[in-house]
Amino acid sequence: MKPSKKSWTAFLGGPWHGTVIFALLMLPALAAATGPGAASNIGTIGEQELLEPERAFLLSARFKDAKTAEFNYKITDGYYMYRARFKVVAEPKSSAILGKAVFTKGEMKQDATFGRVEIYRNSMRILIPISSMGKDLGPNGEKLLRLKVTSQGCADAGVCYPPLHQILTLKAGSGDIKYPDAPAGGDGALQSTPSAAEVISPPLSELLRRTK
Amino acid sequence: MPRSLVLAVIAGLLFLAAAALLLDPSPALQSLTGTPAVKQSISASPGVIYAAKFPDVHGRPQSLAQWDKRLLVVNFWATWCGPCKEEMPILKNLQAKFGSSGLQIIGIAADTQANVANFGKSIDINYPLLVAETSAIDFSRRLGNRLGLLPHTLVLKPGGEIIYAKLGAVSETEMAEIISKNLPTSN
Repeated sequence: MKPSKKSWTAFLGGPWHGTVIFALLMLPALAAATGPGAASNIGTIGEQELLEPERAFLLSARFKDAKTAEFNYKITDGYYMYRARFKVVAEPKSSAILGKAVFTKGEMKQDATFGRVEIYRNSMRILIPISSMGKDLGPNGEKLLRLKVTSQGCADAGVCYPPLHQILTLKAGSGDIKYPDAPAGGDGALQSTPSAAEVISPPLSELLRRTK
Repeated sequence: MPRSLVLAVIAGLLFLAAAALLLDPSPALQSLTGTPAVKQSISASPGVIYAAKFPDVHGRPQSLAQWDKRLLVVNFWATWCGPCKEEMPILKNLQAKFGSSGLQIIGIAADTQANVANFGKSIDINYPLLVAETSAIDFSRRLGNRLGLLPHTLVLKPGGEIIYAKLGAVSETEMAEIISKNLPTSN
C-alpha cells in the first residue's frame, strides 16, 4: 500500500520521528565502527581472561636446610607446567655449584606433538642441592644465593606462555621466607616456613622479574 | 512532547545497541573459553608490520614488506609450543589451497635457528619460517598479544589492514572462509 502524504506527515510528527532521525544520524558512526577501519581496534581473543604467568604459576622459595634450596609452585587450575622445561642455575653461573635438581613426580600427558610428557598441575616442588655457595654476603654478613629459574607452562584453553625467567635471591641464616610485595590476589608466595632462611627484602617485582 | 522525545531517544539507543550486535565487525574474535572476547587495541600500524625483518631458516633476512600485495597470514609459533605444532597442518593446507590466489602464510618462530631448522627437517612446511627468538614475542606483543602467548595468528589484507587476530589454534573452516572472502583476486 502506497503511503499517503497525510500518513507520512502523521508519522514524522509522531513520537517516533526522533528515533528515525537519531538512527539515521548515527548510521555513519556505526558504519565507521564496523567497517574496515575497525581493524585498528581489533583484539585477541579472550586474552584478558588469562593470567599473567607469574600468577598462573606462583613461585615461592626457601632454604630447606643449609645445603638445599626449595622451590614450590602453586599452579592455578586450568594451567600446567612442563617438567622438561624447568631449568635452575646459579646467577651468575660461577657464583655457586648446584647439584642435580630433584622434582616431585608429575602426571604423564599424551601430547599430540611431543608424545608422552610429564606435566604438573596444582603444585610442584623442586629441591636443589647446593654443593658450594659463593662469597656473596648480605648486609649482616649472611651468605646469599642467587638463582635463575626458567619455567614454561600452558593453559588448557590452548595457548602456551613463553619461557619465564625469574631471578631469586635467598639469604641463609635468618627467619621465615618473606615476600614483602606479593602479587595482588595471589597468596602462593606468602608462605611461612620453619627453615632458617628467607628471601631478602627487595619487592617481589624485583625478585621475580623477567629477564631478557 | 517532552515524553515523546524521551521515548524517541530511548528507542534510538536500543536501535543502536541492536545494530551493533548484529553488525559485530569481528565475529572471528571469539573467546578461548566461549565467553565474549575482550577487545584490545592494536597500536601497530601497517608501516610497523611491514618494517619488520627477520632471518629465515638459512639466516637470510626477510622483510615482511615483500608480501604487502598479498593476503598475509602471520603465525607466531615455537617448537616448544604444542598447540602451535598441532595447527601447522591446517596452515599448510590453507597455503596449498589459496597460495596461487594471493595468500601468503609466514611463520615467525619464537625459537632458535637450530630448533627451527631441525623442526623443518621433520615436517615439510610449504610456507616461509622466519626465526625471531625472543623478538618474536616482543613483536607479537606489539600486535596486541599482551602476554606473549602462542600460537598467535593475524590476517592482514594487502596494504596491512589487520582483519583477524586469534590466540590459540586456528580453525581451518573459519580461516578458509576469511581467506576466501579477502583474497586479492576476489576483490
